[in-house]
Amino acid sequence: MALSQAGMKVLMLEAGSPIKPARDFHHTFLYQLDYRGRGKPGLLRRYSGSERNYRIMIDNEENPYTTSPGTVYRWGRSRCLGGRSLHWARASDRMADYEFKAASRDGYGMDWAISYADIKPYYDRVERFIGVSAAAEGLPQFPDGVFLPVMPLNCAEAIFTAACKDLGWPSTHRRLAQLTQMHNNRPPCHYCGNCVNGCDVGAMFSTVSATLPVALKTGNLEVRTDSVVARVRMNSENRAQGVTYIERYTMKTVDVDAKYVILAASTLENTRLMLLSAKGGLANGSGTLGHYMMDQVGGGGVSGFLPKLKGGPSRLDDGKSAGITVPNLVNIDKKTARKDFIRGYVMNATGGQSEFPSFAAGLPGYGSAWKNEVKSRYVAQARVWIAGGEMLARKENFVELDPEVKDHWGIPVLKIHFTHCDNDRKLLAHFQEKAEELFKRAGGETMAGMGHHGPVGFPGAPGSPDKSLPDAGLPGEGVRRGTAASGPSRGASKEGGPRGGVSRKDTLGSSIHEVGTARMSANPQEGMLNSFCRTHEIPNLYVFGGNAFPSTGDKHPTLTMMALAARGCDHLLEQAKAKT
Amino acid sequence: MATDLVTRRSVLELAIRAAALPAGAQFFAVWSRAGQEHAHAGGSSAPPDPHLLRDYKPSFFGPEDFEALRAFTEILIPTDKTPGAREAYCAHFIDFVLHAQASDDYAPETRKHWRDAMAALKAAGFHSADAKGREAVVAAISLPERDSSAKHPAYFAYQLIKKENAFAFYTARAGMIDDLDYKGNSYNATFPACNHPEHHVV
Repeated sequence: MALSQAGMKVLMLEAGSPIKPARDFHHTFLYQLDYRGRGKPGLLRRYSGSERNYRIMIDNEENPYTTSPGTVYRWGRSRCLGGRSLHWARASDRMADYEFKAASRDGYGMDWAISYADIKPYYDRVERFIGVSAAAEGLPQFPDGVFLPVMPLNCAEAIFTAACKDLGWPSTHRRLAQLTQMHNNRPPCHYCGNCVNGCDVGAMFSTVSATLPVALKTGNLEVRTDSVVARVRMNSENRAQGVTYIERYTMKTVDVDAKYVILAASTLENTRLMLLSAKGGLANGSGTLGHYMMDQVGGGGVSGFLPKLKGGPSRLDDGKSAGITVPNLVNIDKKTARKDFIRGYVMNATGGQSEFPSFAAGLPGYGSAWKNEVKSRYVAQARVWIAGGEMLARKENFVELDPEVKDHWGIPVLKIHFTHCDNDRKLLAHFQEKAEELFKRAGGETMAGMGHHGPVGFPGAPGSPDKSLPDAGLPGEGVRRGTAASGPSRGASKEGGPRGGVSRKDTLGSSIHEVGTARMSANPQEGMLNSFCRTHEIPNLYVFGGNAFPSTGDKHPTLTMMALAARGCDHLLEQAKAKT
Repeated sequence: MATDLVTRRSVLELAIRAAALPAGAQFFAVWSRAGQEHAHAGGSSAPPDPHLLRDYKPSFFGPEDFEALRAFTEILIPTDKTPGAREAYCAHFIDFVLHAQASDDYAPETRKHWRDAMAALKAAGFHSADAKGREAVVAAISLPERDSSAKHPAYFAYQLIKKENAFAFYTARAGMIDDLDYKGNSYNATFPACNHPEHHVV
């Protein structure tokens, strides 16, 4: 958007189909669907998501990936115009300065090549454009920004907020790219709770509702959908000449040239393209391409009921698909330093009515008494889950090209090597302890078997693919309001990944917050990108996404990815201006 | 107040601007209509039941098993002051999905599980019992749920049917709207804030 607004001619190549929110997104009730969200038998093994949103996910058969033995990793993906911005969790938290300087503070890994002060103006710019509803809290570990009015708390969130206050913990409404008032010609949220199925009015930020319309209006942007980029082409002057793409349906190969090439195909797809574009990988003098893959630690959590809410009236509790946030409590300063693990995590909590009472089948009994008990508890559901826990960057977590498996277009796919370390486990164990403390202080009663990863529709929610794989099958796990998580990879089953005998207790959940694999570094010997997300070695090749992250931090990564992209665009424009 | 975020003025401004957007007029027509229906239809603006299964002819289970399954689901989720499994066509839904799986030759182990479950119910005497006898059979085979020391060879059938019956019921309009009064998936001008003082203290 920034480039086209500055007058540059931009060609955007999108591997997937075009999307038009007003045409493609609707409010659909489960009873209006033949399979009540589970999809036709087999459908949701081929596609990710649910019967309502699989069209904005990915075709796993066309786009496989593989995993090494010992790896349990589900790569959540989308392939359509707008991609994952169409169904993201909207969480828009700024990273704090201590996260950019984590290595200097605790001696592990590498600092970012930027500080909070460097990126702050871009956080401001992004927030002003996308619209983030939130409350300023004045917490050093949770920097405030340019906010729209915050959304109100539902009853469960009010109870959890009171519990946090009683514990002496900070808490605030989740900071979400979800409008509470008219903003940049986009209407406010109408609280339908359908965020992960695609917002029909553009009240939540997505590229198709916010950035692309502005960019297209300049007349400087051309979008070609169904164009699968296969590699970056180089010229003899060590500059990117352009890219080669394959037309999705005709399989015709097309070359396009450009003065600047920006990879923004999502973190791991960016890395895949760099691996595909030169032997040993493009711009890889540092040898770090593909390495230091991370995904914030997930799993754990508490779920059950809040007795104060039992038997109450039905309310629109899940209409904003939100919750409260408990900012990181540990390793912020000397007072909060832990001896058993480094880094931190963020908690979320919410509750109340949801679309489907996933606990019902697990509630003992039957008949009218059981039915009444389901209804009584339905409005009292509650859960605490981890929003994001920092996973340490380790070189042995990496992606490479699979020597055998290719995608539908004959392009080698990624093979993922991914495990957790003791620090990740200890951090998650500490979260679990604190989550239980919060739940208890709120007066919560736990119930085994309930999902506890957030409102239905969130990754890990009841019925989501990383919880189980019910498909259209019986006996199923529950309803997918929609999730961003992917189904199993083809290669994973082949090589002993998710279905291949690795015990789940040996691995932790992930958050679909994959970052790293082309980290930024002040020293070109230590990373792929400079602080503007431009490759150290190729002056006209930029990489936008999560690739640059040397560490995950404890915040959701998307806002930082957007701020890095905005900063990179400014740099590109300055470079172009200097050249002319 | 947070609940006043969308004022009359901002709604008017919103309506004028958004009506000019693609599909804006359609959105506001639906939003406005939903609000009126919400006010006049006893609280729910959810669309009517499309009755996808009303004319469905059971195809997976034979007549005897289907009749038994239907009776079983109606004991588990009875029709009382709100609709039950009967109005939600729960047995029909279970049959429909299993038939679709069979048509695609998908998940054969699941279908075998269901065949085994119905055979276990039959062996427990459910099929041949009268209404009162069937209540007694359900009470007997569900005992392990209440008493962990108890065992029954048809308990797995109870668990299987209960799980899928709960899914079928609460994803049907009868369960989701008529019984639970689900409020989401609707157009709302504001989000209802918690205004209960007792929720703001521990």
